[in-house]
Amino acid sequence: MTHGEFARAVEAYADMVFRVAFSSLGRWEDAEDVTQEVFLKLWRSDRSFTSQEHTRFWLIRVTVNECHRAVRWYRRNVLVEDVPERPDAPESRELLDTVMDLPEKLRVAAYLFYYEGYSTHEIARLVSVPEATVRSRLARAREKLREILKEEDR
Amino acid sequence: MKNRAFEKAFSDLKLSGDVRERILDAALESDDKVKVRRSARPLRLAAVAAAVTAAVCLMAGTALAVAYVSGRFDTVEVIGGGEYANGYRLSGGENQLLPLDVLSDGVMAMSEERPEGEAVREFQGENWKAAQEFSGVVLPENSAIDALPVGGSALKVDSRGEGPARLTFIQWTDGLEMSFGEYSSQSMGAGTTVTAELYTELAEKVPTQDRYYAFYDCTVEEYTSVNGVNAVITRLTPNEPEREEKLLADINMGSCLFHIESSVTSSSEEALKELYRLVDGFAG
Repeated sequence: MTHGEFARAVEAYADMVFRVAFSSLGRWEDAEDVTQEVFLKLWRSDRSFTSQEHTRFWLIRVTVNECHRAVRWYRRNVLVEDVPERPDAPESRELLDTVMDLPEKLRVAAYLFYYEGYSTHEIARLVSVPEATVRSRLARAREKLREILKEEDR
Repeated sequence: MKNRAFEKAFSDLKLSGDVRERILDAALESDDKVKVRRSARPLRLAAVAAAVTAAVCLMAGTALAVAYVSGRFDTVEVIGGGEYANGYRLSGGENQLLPLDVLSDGVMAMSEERPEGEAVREFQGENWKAAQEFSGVVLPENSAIDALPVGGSALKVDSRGEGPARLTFIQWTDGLEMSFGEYSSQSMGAGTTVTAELYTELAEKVPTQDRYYAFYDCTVEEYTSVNGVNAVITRLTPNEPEREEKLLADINMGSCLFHIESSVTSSSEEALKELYRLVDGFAG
């Protein structure tokens, strides 16, 4: 991968990787760290991809794995309550706060389904769980989010 | 399927410019270090370019005849071996660059008229015979590939730089969903995709082919067809149950690199036989 290609990948996918990380970790600084780590892996991998969708899929998959690694590290080393939230988080906080209050597995599934537009089958491949589990997670997330989504869609 | 409410909430989440810069800087700083491959595993396959088997296809209707000579890649190695992706590398061989004179006015016009920032233009015809007629390039003869059912096809003209440097002909069978990115294509679902890649004199050389496949383990072997055409056969074994096994064949035809990709939907042995049949279809 040339530096130009890498720069284009950062331009195209950095926000997506950050959002996946944020929806998983719920903490701004950690999501930034994971984003850097993911792109460093991309650069070091010296790989080629068959399409943009292949790149996108690979980046999400690596991000999910890196988030799992970060969560494991946090559980061993840090009290989550000690980590400050970023004060200038987005303006449209209401739904975001609601989503971030969901358990991690539910919010990642909801994010990938509702925002990135992946099917339950694709999400199952991305997070390495059976498709039925993804459907179940989405149903639980949907139940919790139903009220606020109804209001936003009106 | 984007949900409006989600879109509103998550679109506000953006990585800061500072972090983007740090990512790009880190890549530049680590440039020297990362060129060392972690676990390249050379195979004994074909370390030496083999004697050329012959055959020349002089093509009627082209502005200039293109000679295709089947040969081997100098080196074939499995690469990656990391946590996320494995693949293989093909390099060297009797590769020729295509003279620009061969290309049609249509291809040259596509190259010149590309919108700013769009390095790759695409021509879509009924099948790749139509793409060959459009481009002025006739691909090596293969009766087995020609007889495959056509789900769709495309010709990509890559003009990064001063003009058309790479032409990629793609044809896939029925039942495939294809998405086209800037650089290449992706097949999903069952079926066979055939890609033929040619580099023109504007490319400095035929580059090393690195093919990575996330979520797969990879093994390679050699096959020589009934007509003496050499192919590198790659078996991709998924490390996730949801994915299907894939069989690939790479053939170096001198000026043209063929890549055949088949999804295994029933028996691996039957799929391998089918792949051999397609390789045997080259006249040699």
